[in-house]
Amino acid sequence: MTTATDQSPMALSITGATKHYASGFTLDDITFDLPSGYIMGLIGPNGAGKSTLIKLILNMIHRDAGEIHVLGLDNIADEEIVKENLGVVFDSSYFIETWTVNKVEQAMAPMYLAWDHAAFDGYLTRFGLDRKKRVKELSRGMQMKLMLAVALSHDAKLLVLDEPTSGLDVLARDELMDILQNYIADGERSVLFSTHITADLERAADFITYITRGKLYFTGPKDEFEESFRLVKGGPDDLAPDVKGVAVGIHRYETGFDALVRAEDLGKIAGLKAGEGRHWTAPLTAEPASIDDIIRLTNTSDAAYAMEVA
Amino acid sequence: MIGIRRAFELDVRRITSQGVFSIVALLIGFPAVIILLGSISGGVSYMPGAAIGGVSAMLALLPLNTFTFEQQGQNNWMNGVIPVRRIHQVIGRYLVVGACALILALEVAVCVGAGMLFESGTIQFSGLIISVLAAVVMYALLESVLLPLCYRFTYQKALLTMMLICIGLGAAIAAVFALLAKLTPAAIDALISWTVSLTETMSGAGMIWLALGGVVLAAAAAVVSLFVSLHIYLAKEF
Repeated sequence: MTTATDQSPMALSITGATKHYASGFTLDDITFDLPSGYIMGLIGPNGAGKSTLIKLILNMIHRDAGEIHVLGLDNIADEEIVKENLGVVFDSSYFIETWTVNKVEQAMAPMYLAWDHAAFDGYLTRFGLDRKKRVKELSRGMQMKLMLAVALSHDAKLLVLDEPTSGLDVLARDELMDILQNYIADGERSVLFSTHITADLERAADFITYITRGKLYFTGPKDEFEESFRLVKGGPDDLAPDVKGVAVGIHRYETGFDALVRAEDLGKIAGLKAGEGRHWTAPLTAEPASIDDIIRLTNTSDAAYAMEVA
Repeated sequence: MIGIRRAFELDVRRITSQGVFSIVALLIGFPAVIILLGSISGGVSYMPGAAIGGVSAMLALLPLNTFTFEQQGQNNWMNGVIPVRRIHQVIGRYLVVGACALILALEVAVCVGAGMLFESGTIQFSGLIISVLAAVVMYALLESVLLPLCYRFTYQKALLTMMLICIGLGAAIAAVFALLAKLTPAAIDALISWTVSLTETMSGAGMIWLALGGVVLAAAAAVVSLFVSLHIYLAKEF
């Protein structure tokens, strides 16, 4: 994190959060901070533990170890104050299907001290939500917008969104990202959102927390995440031991391979050194790694084994 | 207190999700129609009982609707979103049951009172109070068992479990009586005659004490039920 953000109060602070399931899955010792005024993308493959982490924040499941603080308050001891300040959007609607949009407001307004009817009304207009429509008559995207309208209408300081863009078309996703960026503009509000769609992260996220197999792989500024890895590519015969030795994940295919390598380990690959202005053709190339590349290659069987060993 | 009020309000919203009118119509219209028909047809003596039975069944199921709605879609996630502690959510739901018990008391009073009026032209208040208390006690005992079951299991499984409990209790009582009849037939006769004589000799005041004892029993059951539900729900994950 930067010095500037270190001085801001933490919107969300998670320290050593651990959750064991009888199935064998463990969300293991997750630690990260989200400063106020920023958007954090929570990423990872299916089953990585993103939703588990969000449920831990919301005290919907019980943690086995660790601490979670929202705006400096313990999420369990100060649950009511914490949730007054949380806006939540899930990937599917949590409202009763037979409720109309109007009934949703009637049910949710008394839940919050700072409910803002005018703001809710404004979001309904902006999102094209008809008050008379029942929740079950709304598309998945519109249901998400309804949850978002509720989340944005009670002066929440932290938005927690679990896969909010999964049911949205590109225009709606774009609009959502605009809303989130406007939402944090005053520097006092923050957003944590989990997603599979990395284009959303490119557009909106300041920070990234990457979880895979229940373990924290990276947390920090988005640019740092992308810059800390390189994608090394080569032919089928170029996968030398030095590449294997430093690669955090390798994907082999008929015409060659992709290896994800930490930027600081690039110098340890001989085939790449040859490419730096020497006379013979380098067998390997190193390219910037996209977020998708990082997720893809840190979840290969090689990477899984390396994580287990680590 | 704010949390409990919020939980109560949300549960009322859940119960009335299909519309308030149908519930009000059933709770007021149904007994009114039954009693009216009874008074017209001359079957007054049993009509209030029928009305009370119908209303009791409706009110027994009404608070349980909250569980069915929570099971629909992801509505139980709402419990994790709203700024209400789990303990307050449970207390709020028990308050809904309490409110239903009050409505039941009112309905029974009206139905029985109407029945008395149609039949004899006067209202016997001791009889009226006993009827009301008996209905409320039975209702409280039933809900005290059903609510923890609904917190523990799905709604369908909770009802099934309740049915099995009732069948099991009935079978156990029948077995005890059958055994007594086989081993000591005189004991059965003695028990029946004791019950009959107790009923005949008990004065109005005695009956009220008996009813109040029932109220204490129901209150104790409700408190135990609340603690069991809290124990289950506080450990629950959704």
